Amino acid sequence: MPPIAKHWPRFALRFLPGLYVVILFLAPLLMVLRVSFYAGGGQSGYGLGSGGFYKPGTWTITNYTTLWHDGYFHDILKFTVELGIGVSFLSVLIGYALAYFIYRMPPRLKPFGYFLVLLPKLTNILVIIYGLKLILSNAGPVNHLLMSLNWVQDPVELSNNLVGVTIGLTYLIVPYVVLVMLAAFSKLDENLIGAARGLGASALNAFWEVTWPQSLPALSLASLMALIWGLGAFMCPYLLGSPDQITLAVEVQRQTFENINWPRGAATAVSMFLALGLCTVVFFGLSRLALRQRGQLR
Amino acid sequence: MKRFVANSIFWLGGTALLAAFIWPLVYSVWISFTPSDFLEPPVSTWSLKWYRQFWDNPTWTDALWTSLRVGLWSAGLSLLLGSSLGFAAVRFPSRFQRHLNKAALLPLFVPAIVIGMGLLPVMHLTHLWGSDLSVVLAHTLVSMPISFIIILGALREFDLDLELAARGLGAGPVQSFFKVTVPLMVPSLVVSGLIAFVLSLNEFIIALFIGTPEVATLPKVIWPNLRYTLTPLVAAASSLTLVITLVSILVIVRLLRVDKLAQKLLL
Repeated sequence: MPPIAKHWPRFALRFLPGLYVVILFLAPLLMVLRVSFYAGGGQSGYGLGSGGFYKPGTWTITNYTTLWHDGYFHDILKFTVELGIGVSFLSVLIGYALAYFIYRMPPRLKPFGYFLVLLPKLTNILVIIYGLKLILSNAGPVNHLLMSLNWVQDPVELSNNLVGVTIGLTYLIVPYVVLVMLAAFSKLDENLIGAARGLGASALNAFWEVTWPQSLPALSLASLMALIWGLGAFMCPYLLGSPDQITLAVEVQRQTFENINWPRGAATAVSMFLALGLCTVVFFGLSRLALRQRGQLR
Repeated sequence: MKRFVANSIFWLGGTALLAAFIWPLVYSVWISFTPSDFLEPPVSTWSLKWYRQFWDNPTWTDALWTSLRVGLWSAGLSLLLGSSLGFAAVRFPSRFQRHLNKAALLPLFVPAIVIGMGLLPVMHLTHLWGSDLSVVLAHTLVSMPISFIIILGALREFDLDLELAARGLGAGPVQSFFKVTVPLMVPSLVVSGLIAFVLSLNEFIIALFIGTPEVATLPKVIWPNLRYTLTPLVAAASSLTLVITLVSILVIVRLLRVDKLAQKLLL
């Protein structure tokens, strides 16, 4: 039998997915890189036919040098990284507590807890942002409550500023943290906690000495995921923030669609990808180092 | 006493956290039933006024149909690609296959903005820009890795002896595959298709980047409304997608259980 006939099933099975990954994943990534080296088109508007958005066949690094010398871009970059780190810290804190709570729920209620946490992740993010906008608005229930309790006299500005962005992003990132931590908690040996309690440890001590150290590897994974999502923030800064809270992702969209400057948008996207990669590598390295020192990693 | 207090704080705090978590969702749905033109949640009188406005406005209904159409096609494509890759990964393991498996998961780790920015010139150059197919192909990028993971997991737990038994009883490889393997895989296939559908229905960033007015999915139509006006119409539109998503999730949950049941009965 010729080899091609013997191997046709595996060729057939691999062909379409392979082709798909190359054309729709690899090609776009390379295109971002290529477009970022084009000269800007100078024309504007939708549907002008090819060539309206960049000058084909040109090679230039001006898009990057412009970014490099642009103080506004530096501000955006700095804000994105600060926001990403701050929000992922907050999300990990809340997500860890929430995951531990669901882990300790009675078995009958546990699926319900899972469901509630997963639901926002599977529904439209815009629904959550819409709900948050209403809840946090000046006439919304949060301000209503604060004023009826006489804690504040005038409505507190909770959205269209950093507070709104932070709350929104935390809502979107916490489910990832909860999922990772729950997977880790459910693998824990319950008997160890029982043994610690039996040997006289208080509930808090047992958690601190037994559960906490064992959850550290998963915690580092959860933080990494939170960081990736925090740095890629797009919708919350756009919808719950003000022009002061522009992130790199928002800037990509604005350059591409509001300035109709695809090369500048692509250069910003590449910078965002690099910033994200750098933060990820640094965090990954630091957390592995910390785990190794604790002897939790070979 | 001290223990009781600590326990109550733990339970109260946890429940409050969980409640706070779905509050925005519940609040959006609640607002969608308001009879008023303002953003007041309905208390005594509820109304379907905003849903009627949704149905009477072709911009919104067209967007809903576009979303459903794109979602179904994308689910089908994701199922086809995910399952063929899953079968290849289990049945023909090799070095090359392992690399291919990893490559197929990569889209999950690249921010949607970067993917969207890259797909824009690709769709432009291939003249797919403005067609349903462009958004279908793009959404499959996000759902295919998930379909692949689900089918791979199911296939790993699949008992190969069943297929071998069919072969031993005289079935050919093709016959045993379609008569034994595929029927047993149906729950996982449906689950991965449904998840792909839900992901596409709710995917937003890539649709925003490559969608044109000709392929405006529901989230893309909601978007400008969310920025400039906050009419309860947006809440009604969101609630509709929420209902579709919820039904899909319930089916998924049921099927996953059926899946486990089938395994227990067979093994």
